[in-house]
Amino acid sequence: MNTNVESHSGYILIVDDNSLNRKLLARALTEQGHRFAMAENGRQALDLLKSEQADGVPLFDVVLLDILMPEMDGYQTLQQIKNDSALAHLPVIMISALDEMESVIRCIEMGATDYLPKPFNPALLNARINASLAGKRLRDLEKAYLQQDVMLRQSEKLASIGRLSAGMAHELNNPVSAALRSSKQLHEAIHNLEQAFLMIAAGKPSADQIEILAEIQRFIKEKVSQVSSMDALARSDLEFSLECWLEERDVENSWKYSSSLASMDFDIQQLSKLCSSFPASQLPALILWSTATYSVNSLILEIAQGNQRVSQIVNALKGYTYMDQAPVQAVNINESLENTLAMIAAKLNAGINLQRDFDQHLPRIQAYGSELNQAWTNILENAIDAMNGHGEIKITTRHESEWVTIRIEDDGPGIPLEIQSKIFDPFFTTKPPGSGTGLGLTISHHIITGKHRGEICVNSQPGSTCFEIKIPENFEDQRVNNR
Amino acid sequence: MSKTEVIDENAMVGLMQSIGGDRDFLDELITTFFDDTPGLFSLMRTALASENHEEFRRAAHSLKSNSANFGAFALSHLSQELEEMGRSRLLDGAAERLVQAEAEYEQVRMALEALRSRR
Repeated sequence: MNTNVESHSGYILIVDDNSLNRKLLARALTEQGHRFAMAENGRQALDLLKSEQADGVPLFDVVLLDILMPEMDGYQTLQQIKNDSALAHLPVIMISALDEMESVIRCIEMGATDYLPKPFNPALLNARINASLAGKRLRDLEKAYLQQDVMLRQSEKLASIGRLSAGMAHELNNPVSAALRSSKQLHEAIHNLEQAFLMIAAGKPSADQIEILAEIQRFIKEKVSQVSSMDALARSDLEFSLECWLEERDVENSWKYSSSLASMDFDIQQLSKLCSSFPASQLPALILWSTATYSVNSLILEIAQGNQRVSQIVNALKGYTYMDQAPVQAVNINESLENTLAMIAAKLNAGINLQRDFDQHLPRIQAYGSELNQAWTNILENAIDAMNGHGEIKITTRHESEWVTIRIEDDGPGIPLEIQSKIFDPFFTTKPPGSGTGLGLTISHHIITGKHRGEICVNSQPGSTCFEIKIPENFEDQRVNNR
Repeated sequence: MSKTEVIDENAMVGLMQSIGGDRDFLDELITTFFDDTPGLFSLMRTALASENHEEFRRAAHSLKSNSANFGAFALSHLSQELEEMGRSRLLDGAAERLVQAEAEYEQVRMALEALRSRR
């Protein structure tokens, strides 16, 4: 019987030890425009399923599987198909006599899609095959979509890593080059200190004189860690008077020392006191010694500060990416926001006035930490771009009955009403080509609603745009899932 | 179905419809049936002697389904009884049933041969 039901052609694997059944099925499938291959038992079927693949994807669309077979029966075959990740999604239609319903039920429970009673009815076979083909096409489409989705998110992740790296390079560059410069200067300062030491030692200082030096040393060390309170004009005056004083006493390179001496708040009075305790010939050695002592101590401090800053940035980066931590962990949203703010500090510093109104008693919530940070980053970068880097951003956190609410508000020009409904759509961007991926807010939306079962909405008018995000304390909780 | 009706006509009409009235293909199916069935009987006899219940059941199962395709319901019912004996691992009386089934197959074979030469 030739059926006129519209059908798409499929590639069907017939698995039956009975040659009459194989002939009948093959005939019916050919009539319906399908292609087929045949196997006489489960082992042959699995061999075919594994060999007839392209890029790890089986070429077959549907398996017609008999239950009672020698070598390997239908149950074992079905089990192996379902246990093989490359084959598991293949629709399997069981072939069975009407008195085998129990076996069919067992197979359906094991993952078979459907069954076909014997003797075969071609119309029924056609309907079953087409339903399975449609189901498989849907699953294939879904799989392709999911793969595309993963790739898109991966590419957005790379883009945001790129932006982060640029920001990081900028942030790290300052403290690192400061520390590098200081360590080079330290070399010279230590050389000077050694010279001064030898010169002072050559004068065989008395115990009293050594005591005076120790006192000056304490004074200098104290000054190193203090910020000078002197204004520029007073300092310039002091430098000038020191330079004159040194020149009068024939100290070479007096201009070089006067600045250093002024930095440590050394005045003429202290200088005179120092000189009166030592022979005049020792003056250059004393000046060299005190300025070198100051340099060595302040350079060491600068290096320490530079490294401290690098260490802070690295910690923020670790916090931001949740390096070496489980994907889902107990996250404090305030910390998560702070880590994100630290990462985009370079962009914020330019001209954004940041206001924090954090609920200090937020509970830790179950969350994918690094993904949440990506969501914040995308929303904040979007806001900064919209504001052209100038204006105010206010971040509020609140705890409201098993939910944490985060509000990110900016006073930028706002999102025009006609595009407010599109901002979470993939590839929707108002930025010029090449500057945005059009995925930033889509990804934030996916991370918040898809991964954390939360909510995100935007309320925007000129001068005020507010993203409100609500995340449940525990997104794995059934009550949240059943909402 | 009357006892004398070796091949059920309605079933045969159904089979013809399902293969699009293709007489050549019907002949091919009948030939396949003739080729396979003696093998199934000998398989059942060997399995009975060696008490291989699984193999006995499987051969009976094939004969049941094959004969049903041609509307040979008496043979199909006998095969079903044999299959059940194999499934329940109780082969008492299976030898007699086997003899009955072979005799019934002879009837079926003659009826199908007549059908094949009637064109």
